[in-house]
Amino acid sequence: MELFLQQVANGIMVGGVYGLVALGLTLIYGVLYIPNFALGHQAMIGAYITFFLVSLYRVNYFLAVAIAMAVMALLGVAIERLIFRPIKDAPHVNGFIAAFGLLFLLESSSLIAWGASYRKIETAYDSQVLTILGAHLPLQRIMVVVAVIVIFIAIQLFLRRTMAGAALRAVSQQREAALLVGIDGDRVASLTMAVGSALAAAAGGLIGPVILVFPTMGSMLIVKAFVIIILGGMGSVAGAIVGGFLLGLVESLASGFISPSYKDLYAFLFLVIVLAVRPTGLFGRAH
Amino acid sequence: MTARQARWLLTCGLLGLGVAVPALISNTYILHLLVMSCIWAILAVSMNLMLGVTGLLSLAHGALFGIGGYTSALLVVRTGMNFWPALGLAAVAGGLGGLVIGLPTLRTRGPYFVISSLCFGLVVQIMMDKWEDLTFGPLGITSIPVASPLPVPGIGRITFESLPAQYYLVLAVLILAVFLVRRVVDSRVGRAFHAIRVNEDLAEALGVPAMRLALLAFVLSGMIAGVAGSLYAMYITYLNPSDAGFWVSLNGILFVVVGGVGTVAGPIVGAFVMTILPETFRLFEEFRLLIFGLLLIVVIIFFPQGIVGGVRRFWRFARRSPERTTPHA
Repeated sequence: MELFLQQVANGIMVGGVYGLVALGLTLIYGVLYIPNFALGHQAMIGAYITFFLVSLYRVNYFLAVAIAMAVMALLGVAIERLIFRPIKDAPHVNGFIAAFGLLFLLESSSLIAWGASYRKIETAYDSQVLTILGAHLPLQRIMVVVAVIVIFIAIQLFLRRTMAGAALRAVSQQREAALLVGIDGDRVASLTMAVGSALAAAAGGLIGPVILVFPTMGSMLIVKAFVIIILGGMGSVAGAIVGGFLLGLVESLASGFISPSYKDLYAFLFLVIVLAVRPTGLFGRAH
Repeated sequence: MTARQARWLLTCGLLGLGVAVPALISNTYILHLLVMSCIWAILAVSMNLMLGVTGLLSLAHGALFGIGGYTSALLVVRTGMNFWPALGLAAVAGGLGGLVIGLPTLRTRGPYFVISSLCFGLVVQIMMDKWEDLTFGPLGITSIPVASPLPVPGIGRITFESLPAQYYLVLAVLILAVFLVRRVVDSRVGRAFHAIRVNEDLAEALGVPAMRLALLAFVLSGMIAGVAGSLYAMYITYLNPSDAGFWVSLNGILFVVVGGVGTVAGPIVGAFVMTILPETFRLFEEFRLLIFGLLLIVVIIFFPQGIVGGVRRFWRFARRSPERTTPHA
């Protein structure tokens, strides 16, 4: 029972972080039609920014995550402007390949700049441990879950209650109609990349203290995020969030009760099974 | 001279050059690079069949390459089987891999297909890593023997110990693969592939069995990738799970995109350029991935048709032909 609770708690935490990346991915895909494979690496850069702010400049951890989000939002706008906008009318595959190029670019520049060594973001919450029903939960992990929920609510409010959010939803639902009523597609694309990139940076900054920070940490994050949006149906905000928690739980329970050495396999096997039964994902419509 | 004659002449010239290379070049390092280029070109031809013909970007091809390599290497090393039947079985295994991976993944499209093919590829790679009793695990398979001599009636036995012999072997397989794919693309099936890529819904409405054809493309492509993997294992004499990995798929994509998607010459040109060019900037080892990334972005933005497409456009421009450029070959 204790092991079960422990694994559930871990699953929720990791799943929430996966969900952040998946949410960014699904928003970007909805508006730009680009499967942004580099988003996990943007999360990695976000984790590095957080790490340097906390360890070198002694910035408060949550403030550091917020700064990382802001920086990454700017970088996201630059990426949209320089790489994604010139190919917006090209076939899908081209967007994918450009994103791969960006992934290489980010990974190798961080390797050259910061080396391959593993870094740990030290936070004040790390040493405090709460014991709930026999499960030991470091305060850091609880804070991660709280932060993830706050971000999810903020995103929902942004999408539902602001004009910019409405424009974003409009473009992703009915592109032509949205452009006809005078929404500037390029500006919405910029905005979406900014929001998606900020979400990725938040994921990186939040997972940083739990797993370590290193240049290739983005690869697994992005693959899991893709698995989630395939499960949740592409373009679905709720699907990304629910899918994130679900995948985190599957992974964490399977490694707790079956074997941890195949940890990364479970996500893929889960996807394989789901696709075999329902090719449109668990919550997806036909596409 | 018509364009058709010019192309025919060019093909013959290149073929002649390819055959004459070992006689002209005695530098073993350059010959080694050419052997590697041919092996990668076979993989690229296989990738091009998927990407250029059906428009589907597969990230499972690294796994198919690995399945081929592992099949023949394990058969030769563990059971002492002759290389040639093992090579055939590698093709069969690659095709079967394509079938097994294709059945569930081909029900999806676009980014869904890309990611599900990636997931299947990763499952294969993880299995090669963990199933140590069969695959030797992360240590890999060492000292894989060279291809056994091939008896040819009238000539005698051809041996493959020397580098030029191995070069001729991979070159012959490459030519065979190109010829095979060309035959498929020019056939009824090839026209159906084209119809699927242009407008899948319309093609299906006209009675083209899109799913079955896409599966056929995946199986064929898997067979060719399996052969490439088998030749790679034999030539390098060592194979480990990362040879079935993501980077193999990625290299394949890179070759096809840099060379020119959907053209006959594109994947071959891409494989040769991207194998030989990085060697010339070996000095910047650290920056290799960085240059790769930049190159990929620049090519996709400014030359979406790759080197072959760019040359073709230049050729048309130079001749001021009234013919409009077509997006695909």
